[in-house]
Amino acid sequence: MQNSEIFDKLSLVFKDIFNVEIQPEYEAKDVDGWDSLKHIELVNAIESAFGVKFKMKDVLSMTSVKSIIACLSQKL
Amino acid sequence: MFLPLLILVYYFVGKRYRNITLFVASLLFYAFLAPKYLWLLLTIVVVTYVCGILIARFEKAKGFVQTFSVCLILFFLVYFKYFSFLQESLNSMFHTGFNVFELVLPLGISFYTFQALSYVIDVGRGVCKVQKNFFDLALYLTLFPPLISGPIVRYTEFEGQITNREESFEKVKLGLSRFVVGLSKKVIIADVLGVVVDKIFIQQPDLIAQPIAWIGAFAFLLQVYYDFSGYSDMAIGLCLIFGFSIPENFNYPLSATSISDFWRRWNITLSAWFKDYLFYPIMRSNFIKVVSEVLKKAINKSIATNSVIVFCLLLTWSLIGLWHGAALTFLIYGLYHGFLISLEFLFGVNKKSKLPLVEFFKHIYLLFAVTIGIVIFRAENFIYAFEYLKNMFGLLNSKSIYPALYYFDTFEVVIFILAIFFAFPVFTKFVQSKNSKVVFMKNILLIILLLLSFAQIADMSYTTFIYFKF
Repeated sequence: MQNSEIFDKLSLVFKDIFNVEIQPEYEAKDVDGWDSLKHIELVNAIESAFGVKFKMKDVLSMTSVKSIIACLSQKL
Repeated sequence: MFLPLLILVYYFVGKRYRNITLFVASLLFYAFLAPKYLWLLLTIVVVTYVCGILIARFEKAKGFVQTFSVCLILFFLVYFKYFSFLQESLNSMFHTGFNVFELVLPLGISFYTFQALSYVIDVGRGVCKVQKNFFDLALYLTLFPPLISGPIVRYTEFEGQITNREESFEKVKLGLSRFVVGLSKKVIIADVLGVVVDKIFIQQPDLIAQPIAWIGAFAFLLQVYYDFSGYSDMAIGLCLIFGFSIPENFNYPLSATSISDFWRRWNITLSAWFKDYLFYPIMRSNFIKVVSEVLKKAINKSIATNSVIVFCLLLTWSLIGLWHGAALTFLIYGLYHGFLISLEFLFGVNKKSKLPLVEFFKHIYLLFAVTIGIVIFRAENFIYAFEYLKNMFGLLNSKSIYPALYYFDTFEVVIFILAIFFAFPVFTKFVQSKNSKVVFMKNILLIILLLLSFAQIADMSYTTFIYFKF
């Protein structure tokens, strides 16, 4: 899957959870509500949407849109 | 004499002997403060080293070895910190009649076992590589500045600095400045406030006037802040002298606007530790996933998700409370913060508002909430905390036996006001400025602070750091 396709699909997940349109350069601080409490909900939703399974190492590294895409592109 | 001598020896010996110099100095430091438990520190080091090697070696049984390692390290913490509390609790609940062992808490055990746990878990997770050099791992676990009272350093933050760190005169200067700031926070502010606080909290709540009860609680909050952040400054400064950069532990917590925000600024390394090694793993556990799915089918999806988050939050915060000490008051202290964080999450208080007035009221709420919480933290038992809080809210017919001036003299009032002032980021531009005149002024100020600290140490009896008992 191309990174642009990953981004488009990821945008839908963010829209569903945080009701926000993301930009590729966004970090956790740029998305209102993306804190440690909502992080796992986001990770679970990404897993469901892309049909992948993340390790805890990945979960901890996913602190920006860029790092999520990097993580997903390794698995897809 | 320990510190100047160590700095001289450290910079006198060749680079290849510097780590071993620091390791030996750290053991001497610990042996001087807690000779009885040096064996325990060394045992944890050996256990952690062996566990790391085993986790890396047995790839197929990694999960089992990692769980065994975590349980083994936790055993030492639980035995020395919570065993007598468990016996007492069982005796009072079930009349079991155990002979309670009164164990002296090993100095720094809550900090160095947490570093050991983070290392073995990170090796298991593949976050860091196993350390095969025993002395390098031993240095990470025993390095004396953060050993007793944090910050809790992750191995991933330390790994690269063991063999490849830059020592420089600039770093030594910065480190010494930070050390002086920390020392003055402790002896000029925290210890002076401690005198006022002790005079208030030594009395029964019904003998303290309501305004004095509020002042006592807020003064104790400031005392803990200056005491603990002072220690962290000293630890960060000392590490810098030897070329190490360790994480910050405080970021003006009293300027926070919610309890969630507060814990991102207060004892930062502890709350981050619990987030990465407890909260996330619980949230990702199969049990929670199953419960979450069942709830989603039974009730509304959003209510189910929020209920699971709140459950995991309360569980995590009860353990954060108990990390502070084996007592019911600490459990309630943790749950109180967990409960408020849950409410903030459910009502969206932890989101930043665009209206300054809303942020201002959130800030006032935060100050009230943490002042109330610190009473539970301070109290000898829950009944005292409850009575003290009743007094603060005018629900106790208190009759003060002393006039207000009994509790503080002019010097203590000045320190109290300064303590409030410096708890907020009002001088950040001055502190960060590199202008030569400002740098000169800062150096003069540091010398004054150092002299005042020495004068204060000579004048007052030595008081230990509050977080030493955790």
